[in-house]
This record gives sequence, C-alpha cells and structure tokens, in this order.
Amino acid sequence: MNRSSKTAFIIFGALLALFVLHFTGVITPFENLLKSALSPLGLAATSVGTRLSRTFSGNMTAEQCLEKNVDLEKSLAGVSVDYVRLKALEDENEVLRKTLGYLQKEGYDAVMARIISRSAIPERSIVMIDKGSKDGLEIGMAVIYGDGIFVGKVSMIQERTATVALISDAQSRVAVAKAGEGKLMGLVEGQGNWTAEATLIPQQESLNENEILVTSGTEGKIPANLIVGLINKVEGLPTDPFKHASIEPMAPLEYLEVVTVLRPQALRPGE
Amino acid sequence: MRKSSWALLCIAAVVGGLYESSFLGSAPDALGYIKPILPVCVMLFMLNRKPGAYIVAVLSGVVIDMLSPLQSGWTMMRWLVVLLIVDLLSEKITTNRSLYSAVALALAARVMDRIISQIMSWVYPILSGQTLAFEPWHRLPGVLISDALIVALIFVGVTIFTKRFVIAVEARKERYE
Repeated sequence: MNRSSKTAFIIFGALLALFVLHFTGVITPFENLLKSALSPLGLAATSVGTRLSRTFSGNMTAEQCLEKNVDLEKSLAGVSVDYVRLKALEDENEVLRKTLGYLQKEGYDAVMARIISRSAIPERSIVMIDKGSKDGLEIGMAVIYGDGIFVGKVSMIQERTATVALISDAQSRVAVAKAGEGKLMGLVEGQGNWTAEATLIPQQESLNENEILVTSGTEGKIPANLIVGLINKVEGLPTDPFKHASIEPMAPLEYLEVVTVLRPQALRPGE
Repeated sequence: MRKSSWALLCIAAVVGGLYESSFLGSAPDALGYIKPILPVCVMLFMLNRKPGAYIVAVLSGVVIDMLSPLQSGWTMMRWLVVLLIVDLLSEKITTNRSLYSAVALALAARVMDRIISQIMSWVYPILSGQTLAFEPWHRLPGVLISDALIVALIFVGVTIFTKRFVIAVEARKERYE
C-alpha cells in the first residue's frame, strides 16, 4: 500500500467513524461543548460583518435616496393617522391588560439571545443564537426584536445554541391577522433576500397598503398581536380565490444582533 | 514545518473558518464570493505541505460545521474528500508546478466540492429526514473567479518572496546536452 492510499484509507475510516458517531449521538456532548467554546468567536465575527454591512448599505445614490424618501413620506402619512388611533387604543389596552392580568394569564417571559452566525445563502434567512434547550427554549417559540416585533421562530434546538428561521426565510410560515382584528387572515411566507409575502388571504378580506399585520395567536407557542410587518403592495386578480401582498418587515432582519425569545412560564428551567 | 508555523497555520485555519461561517453571513453580499480556504488548501498542496492542507481543511471545516445556522453540510468531510481527489489529480494529471496547474486544481476542487454538496443534498434527507441547503449554482462562477484570483495572488507572492516556483534550469537551446 503506497502513502497516498494509506492517507486515503485513514481519512475515509475516520470520516466513516465520525459519521456513525454523529448519527448515534455519541459525540453530541462534545459538539455542544465545541459550539459553546466557539460562540464568542462567532459572535465577534458576526458583529464585525454586520457593522461592515451597515457601513456599505449606507452608501445610496441620490436617486435611491429620493425614492426611499417618497416611500417613507407616503408611509408616514398613513402611519401618523394610525398612530393617533392606535395610541388611544394602546392606553385603553394598557388598562385592560392590567385589569385582566394578561401577562400572568398568558405566562410568557423572555430570554435575551445574541446572534452567533447567519446563513450565507441569500435564500435562507436563518440565524444561530447563543441560547438553547438549557435556557428553556423549544422549537416553535416566537423570537422578537425590540418592542414586540416578531422576527421569526425557533426552528432547531441544541443544548446551548438554537437556530431561528426568520420571517423572510424561504421555508418560514406564520399565521397572521390584521392589527386590532384578531381574526386569522392568512400566512406570511418568507421569500428569501430579507423579504416576505402575505399569502392565502381570502378575496373578501379588505387589505390596504401600510396596514400592519400581527401574529394571529393560532400557533401554540406564538402569542397573538406581535407585529409582523407593514403591507407594501396588494396583488391578485378579483377572479383569484386568494390575494397576496408584499410585506415590509418592521425589524432590520439583516442587521439583527440581539433578539428576545418568548417562552411560556411553564418552561422556565428550575421552576 | 516548525512548531511556530504549525501554530500559525492552525490559528489561520480557525480564523478562516470564522470568516466563512459567521462573518460572510453578515457581511455585504459581494464578499460572499470570496472563500479563501479551499484555494489556500490547494496552494498548500502545490507547496508540498500536504499535512498542512489537511489540518486547515479539518480545523476550518469543524468551525464552519459548528457555527453553521443551517443543517451542517459536513464541510470538513467534503473538503477532506476534495483534497484526496486534488492529491490524486496533482500526482497523475497536473504534475508540473505552474500557475496554470495551480488555478486548474483550485477550480477543480471548487467544482468537486459543489458536486459533492449537491449529491449530499439528495442523499442526506434519505438518511436523516432533514434537508441540507447549499449555495445556489448561479453563484459558482463568481466563486470560481475569486478562487482563481486568490490562487494567482498566492502563487505570484510565493514566487516573488521565495525560490519555491523559480525554474533553476536556464532557458536556452540544447540545455540538456
């Protein structure tokens, strides 16, 4: 046996052993340990990448700025009217929540998590976070950004890390309702490249630009009324059974660094 | 290789793994075409540093597999298989140590990696019931161009600063007589 064949033999043997050990779960504790050891390095690399990306995305041409400005002014006009209405509703809601003890009843609490890495494939908007099953996370839990902006749900879980499928991921599906109505209206499906689309909206549903979509609350681990996005453009012929609309996510999905995972109180470790 | 060179190589491999796993996912899209690990491994082969190439492939592959938010694409395994094929190609076909053979090997390595990825994306769901996602094919030409540039840069750099690829025989007629 010459040297090259020997090397090939050793490598294939080692790979086969690794394959078997991985699938039988023998090396899972070692993998978890390695993942948590690499987390801080991944975090630093992601942070540098995000900053670089932000710096480059700031360089828009004059035409792009103008176009963006027109869009924003249009959105602002719609949002300002809504804001006044929603402010009144919010105040009322605040009182009602306190009265009914909403949070205690729903029993959701939150875990802050930082993003360790992101998918490099544009079609897949998936991120890895530095919290896992040890922190009480479970598959399907809602992940939010800031003040209740829904950004995705936990799709895979390990002991110390978890992966989150963002709303723009091509395989992401979230049941949504119109803000304030609380009635299931359709699905928001990810389209890749940080975009999403609302689909399966019955033709009789009225839907306008700049309306806000929220989670419907029909999924077990996702509470209702988390903001999903703003409707950009409604499409579909009157003869189609369903219409669809492009959605503008309310959170900067490509620049997320810290997110919050909502978990039911019953899942808190040690309780 | 000296111990310090090994240490440097290992650190570079981990940094390379971090670059291709965590950094590229967050960085501007254009940088996504620059994937230096595989071309560097090929250049280590050209420089007769085969163990070094395998070490880089293993360390970077492990870092990428551990930090990949998608289902692990068995990067380490793929790269080791690719390097074995590159080893075979460099011994049987591209036996000279020219810039062209270095570029050809790097391009062959990338294409083989992509083909193995594609085969895995068909086989893996049958074995584990989970899907594997890989970079789309339309990005491959961009990655190949960047690979060729990386190899050319390293080759030229090595030629300028060392005597590794310098031809010692004087280029004149009847020089072997």
